[in-house]
Order: sequence, then C-alpha cells, then structure tokens
Amino acid sequence: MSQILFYVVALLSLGCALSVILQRNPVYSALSLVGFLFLQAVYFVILRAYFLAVVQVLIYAGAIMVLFVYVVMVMNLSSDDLPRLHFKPVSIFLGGLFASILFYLFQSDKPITRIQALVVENNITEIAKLLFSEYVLAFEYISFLLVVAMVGVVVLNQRTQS
Amino acid sequence: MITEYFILSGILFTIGVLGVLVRKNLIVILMSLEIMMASSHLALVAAGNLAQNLSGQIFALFSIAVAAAEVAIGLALVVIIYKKKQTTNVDRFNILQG
Repeated sequence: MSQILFYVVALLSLGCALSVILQRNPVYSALSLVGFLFLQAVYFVILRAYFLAVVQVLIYAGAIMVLFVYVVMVMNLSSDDLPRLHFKPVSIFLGGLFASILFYLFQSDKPITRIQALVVENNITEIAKLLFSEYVLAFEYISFLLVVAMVGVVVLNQRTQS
Repeated sequence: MITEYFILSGILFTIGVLGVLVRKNLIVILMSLEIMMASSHLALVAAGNLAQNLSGQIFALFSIAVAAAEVAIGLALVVIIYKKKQTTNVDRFNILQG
C-alpha cells in the first residue's frame, strides 16, 4: 500500500520539481514549489516522521512560500526578468555528469531493503527528549542563528532605505 | 524500499542543480536551492529510518531551520539588488567585472 502511494507521490513530486525549473513565470514556479514541498511532507508521513511532516507544512509550505510569493508579487517583473529558457550544452552536460555520478554511487551500494516501521511510535515525545538532552547545544545555536538572520534582514533593508 | 528514497532524493537534487545552472531569474535560482535542500532532508529522514533512530529526523529539523534563515537573508538580498538594478536577471549583475 505504502509502496504504491510512494510511487504515485514520487511521480507527482518529480513533475512539480521539473515544473519549478521549467516555468517561465516565477509565480507559477512558486506555486509548483508549494506542491513539491507539500508532497515532501507526504514522504515524511510514509516514513513515519509525523512531527517533521507537520514542521514541513508549517515552515516550508507556510512561512517560506509566503516569503517567496510576496517577493515575486512585490517585484514588478519585466520581460527582461523573464528571459527565454536556453539550455546551454554545458549546463546540460554538467547536470548529466552530476546525475551519473549520483547513480554510480547508488548502484555500487548493495540494495538496502530493510525496515519500514520506526521503533518509537510516540515520536514527538522522543524527539523532544533527544532535542533537549543530547542536542541541546545545537538547539541553542539554531535559535541564535535565527535571531542573527532576523536582525540581519532588518539591518540590510534599513541601510538601503536611507 | 529505502533505496528508492535515496534514488528519488538524488534525482530531485539533480533537478535543483539543473535549475541553478539553467535559470537566469534570481528568485527561481533560490527556489532551486530550496529543492536541493528539501531533497537532502528526504535523504536524511530515510537514513534515519534505516538506522532506526531519531537522529536523522533531528538533523532534518535543524536543516529546515537553517533553510528558513537562508531564505530570509537570500530574499532580502534579492530585494536590495532589485532596488538598485531594477531587475532580477543574473546576466545584468556583472558589477564585479569592473
């Protein structure tokens, strides 16, 4: 059951990701990105990472996408901003090279076909325990990083006003 | 079962790389970066499932927070550049060439 769901969602999310980079208009790209990030949450549900699925929808599909759509809408994009897509041979070559390296790496591994159910069922409690014991320092650093980012954005935009 | 997740995340990451290489619009390039980060989160969670512990999910959680900070700063820079140059086409940003 989850296998079929995985393949359906995989096809959909590949389509969404391709649509992000192939659409000419950034507004359509942003809408495809919403779909892509939402489908990402579905993978997390299949992998039993329920808390991450919620976080993905709240932060990515909610907060980050609002930022993207807001910036796209605020800018009055002219035709100079929307050049025709031109696939230069060198970029196709580099992308193909990257893909083939990845596939070589995956093929050289022996196939992994273990487990599906994660040991802990109540995973929010377990995540909280780990987060506030073993990873508490990283947690503090992340909060510091977010404050720095917020102050940085405000300062950057104040400088340009004056 | 888990192998498919790694392969899928590789394909998605490649799509993101192609987007960065091919597109000229700064905002769409940032979106391609988001695709790359999201595919790496998928690989992290799949690896956490494989290893049967929650560390993969916690690292993905931290990575999501970093991605949020990165997007905020990146879009602020895009807005500033747009105010200065009135365009988001990366071919127009040749200021460092002198």
